Amino acid sequence: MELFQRLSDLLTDYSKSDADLQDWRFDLHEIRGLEIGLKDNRIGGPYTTPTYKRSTSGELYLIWKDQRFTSTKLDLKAIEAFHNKIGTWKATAYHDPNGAGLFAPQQIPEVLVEDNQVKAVIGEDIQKSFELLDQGLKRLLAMGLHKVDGKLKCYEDLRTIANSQGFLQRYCQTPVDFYFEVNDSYGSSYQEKKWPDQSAINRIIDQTGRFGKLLEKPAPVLKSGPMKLLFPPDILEAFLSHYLINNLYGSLVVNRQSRFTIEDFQNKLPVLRDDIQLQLNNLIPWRSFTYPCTNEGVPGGEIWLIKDGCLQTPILSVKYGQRIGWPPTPLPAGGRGVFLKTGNSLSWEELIKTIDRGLIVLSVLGLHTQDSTSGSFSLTADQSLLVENGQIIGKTKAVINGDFLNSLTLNDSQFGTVAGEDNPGLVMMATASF
Amino acid sequence: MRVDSNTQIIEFCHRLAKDNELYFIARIQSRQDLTVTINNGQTEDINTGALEGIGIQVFNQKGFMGFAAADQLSIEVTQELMNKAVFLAKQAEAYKGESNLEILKAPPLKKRLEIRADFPFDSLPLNETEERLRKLNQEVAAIDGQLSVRTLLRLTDEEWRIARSDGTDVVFNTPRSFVYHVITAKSGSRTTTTYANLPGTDLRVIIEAHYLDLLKKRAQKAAQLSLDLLTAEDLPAGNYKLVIDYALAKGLAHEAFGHAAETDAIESSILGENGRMKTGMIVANPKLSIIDGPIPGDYAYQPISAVGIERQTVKIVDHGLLKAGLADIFSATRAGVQYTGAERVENFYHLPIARMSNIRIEMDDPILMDLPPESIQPDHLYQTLLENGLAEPDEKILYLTGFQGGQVNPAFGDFVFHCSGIYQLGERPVLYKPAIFSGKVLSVLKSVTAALGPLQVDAMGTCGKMGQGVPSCGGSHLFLVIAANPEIMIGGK
Repeated sequence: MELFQRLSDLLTDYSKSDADLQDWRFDLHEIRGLEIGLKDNRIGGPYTTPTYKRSTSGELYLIWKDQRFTSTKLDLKAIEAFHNKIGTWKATAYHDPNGAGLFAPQQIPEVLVEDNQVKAVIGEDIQKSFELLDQGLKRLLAMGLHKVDGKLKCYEDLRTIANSQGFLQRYCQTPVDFYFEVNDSYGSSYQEKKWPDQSAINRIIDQTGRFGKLLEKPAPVLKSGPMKLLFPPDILEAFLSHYLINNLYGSLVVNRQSRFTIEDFQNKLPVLRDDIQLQLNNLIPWRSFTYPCTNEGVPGGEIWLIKDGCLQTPILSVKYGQRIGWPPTPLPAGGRGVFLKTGNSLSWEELIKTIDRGLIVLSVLGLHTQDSTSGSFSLTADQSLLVENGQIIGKTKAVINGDFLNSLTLNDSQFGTVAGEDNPGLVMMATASF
Repeated sequence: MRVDSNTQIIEFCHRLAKDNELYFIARIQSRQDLTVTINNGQTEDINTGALEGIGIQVFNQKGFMGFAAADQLSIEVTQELMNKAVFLAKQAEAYKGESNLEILKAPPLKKRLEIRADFPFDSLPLNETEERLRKLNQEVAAIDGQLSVRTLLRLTDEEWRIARSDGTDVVFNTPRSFVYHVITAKSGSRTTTTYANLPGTDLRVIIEAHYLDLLKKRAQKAAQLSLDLLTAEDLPAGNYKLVIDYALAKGLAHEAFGHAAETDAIESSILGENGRMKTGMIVANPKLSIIDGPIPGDYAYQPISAVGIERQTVKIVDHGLLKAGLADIFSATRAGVQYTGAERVENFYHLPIARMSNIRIEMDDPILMDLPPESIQPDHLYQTLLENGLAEPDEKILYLTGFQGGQVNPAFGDFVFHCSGIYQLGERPVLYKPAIFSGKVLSVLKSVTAALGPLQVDAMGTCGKMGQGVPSCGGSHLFLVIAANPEIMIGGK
């Protein structure tokens, strides 16, 4: 019998014997996968050993009478020892007057998240994983870079979301993640739910090599002061996630731990420039953030979080949706699947050509240490490229200070589109100390 | 302990490895967690979790490796994992991967180390744990109506059993706990967040009066700072004379030196040259030493390494000289340093890498201070500096308080860490918004000129490296004085 069926049967049988258990839901992942790394130009050493992993994980949510709830992590042993565990789960139930019941979705969208090539690599086609790392190593060394690191991870995840009211969603997803990093200075990565084709592999290797080479040439030391910062799409996404998306979660909004309040959303408060939209979309085929529904059964979809610069909805679980009387929303997977869209924007390369003097920030140290509610940042941009008169001059390092959220309200801030990237790059004013 | 029952699996590993002419390391872990979250006086979540499984790393006779792990403990699964690991080692050899047989030099060990918790999981009924935590949460929120408070209690009961082909069989546990307040102050469009925490080994952190008093004082200090920051201004960026508290000093030791001294990355570390550690190099004031090692009862306690060898206490810097590395078995010889048993793993799914445990900065002849750090205000600190000739009247000195995490690039020697707030010291200290502390590994410790107060080494955190997060801890004397240095930058407007 399939594991999910065993768990469903156990819960159904138990609820017949204990009327206190009113409802249940679970999210079960049965995962197997492969990881191989590359460190200091060598594949599969003691820190990057070829690895096989198998796991059963997930979460179980039990709804007892009198608004009591149990939340527990699922593992194989918990299912095998169900009759021993259920007593503990009942004993650890907590009272939550705002706790949520089950969510009954109208329809779950179908999305592509499975690739048989990935399953084959985990099984008999393992040589493809070695070849991918070997290809990157050889090509990056051939470009004259002296140190190459990297890692490839690919998994097959059979996911089952079910509840006591007959909801059942079962699908297989195949996440693949690889990156190359050169000279400890620059890296780029691929994260999708399908095996990369050669053009995707080329894009990662070429980008890594190009910026790695640019960072080998030092730029002259600059005078500290106001400076244009150029955030490429990956840096903009990291800032968006930390300073904006973190402040949109309903749990923080409701509990007054966000920069924004419920009233701000009710009043559709303008918080960004009026040509800026922020959309959440997790229905794009084979993307790392794509899924048909959340662990609570809320369908994936496309929603506006910010439209014409104005707040639209917090990111809401079923509980916090109920708390404020709004429908629950899809959730960003790992902070991704959020798209910033603007009106007029040049291409990133054209935009760089217009810069008299600025820093392309390729890496920052310490973003996770910053207070996301404040909107301001104080960071070291340890891998940066100086741009003067539209030309990239060379590598520099600076302590950068500014207000990221405020920059998204200013007309002086500019955006540049990059082919193949989900989000644009950003040019904003800040201060830089050298 | 629970892992005692897995002897049959260990014996089976020996048999399979012998049949396949392999060397093996097997790591069995059994972990139970309880997390209680209270948000503004209401229970947000009580979450239980368990993790149990085995990871088997094999080395063939040429030193090529394979690793397989699963969250099941049985003979059948052990057989499956061993087969997978053997297959992967063959693939590594076929694709000319990296070989390493240093593990053969590791001395065998049989040891059992059990820490018995005075206040284990079940020493309080859950509803009483919940109630105590709610009370702690409400006490902080009651300080001011502008505050909202999220309080987290986490208890981890973790056991390990590590066995190797050479007969090594070690069993130990690493119980830990913490209470953590996230304190947010909000006024109009200004929002600030600060933190207060208290680490331990068990439920004593919410039971014993000493711990409760300590947490209360830390929370009051953090709450007041959060409120004061609502009206604080930006500091001009620059190079300043500084005083940092012990939690930030832990960040300094950890980010500025600990990571660069981990020998698994010495080939690119600023403390290495041609793959060898530059021992004997002058890196600090001759009164300063940096020590890393396990402390019983500490949040980051790790008495045995992840390959089953006793972890040593290491003087990385001894009176200003770089003396030793945090060395794992695979890189110690290559780095030219003594092996110190520095391997740790997040869980049985991971491969061992060199990590810190409790890292602290110690200075000779610290200035005496009687008050506990929670009671020392900026004006009192300023007076102590004046009285001991560590500050001139009207001298511009910044006092950085509260560690908010950090990051380092050991290859370039750049590191940062962030504080909760910055005071410009004086008769009337002025509070500024927090800003990044940015420095260079090879110069920063030379600027540490003095220390005040006794050692305090309970600044806790989680350290991330190569996708693995492990508990970290450390500290220093209550305060360190750092001379102005062009390579130490405090961010700001």
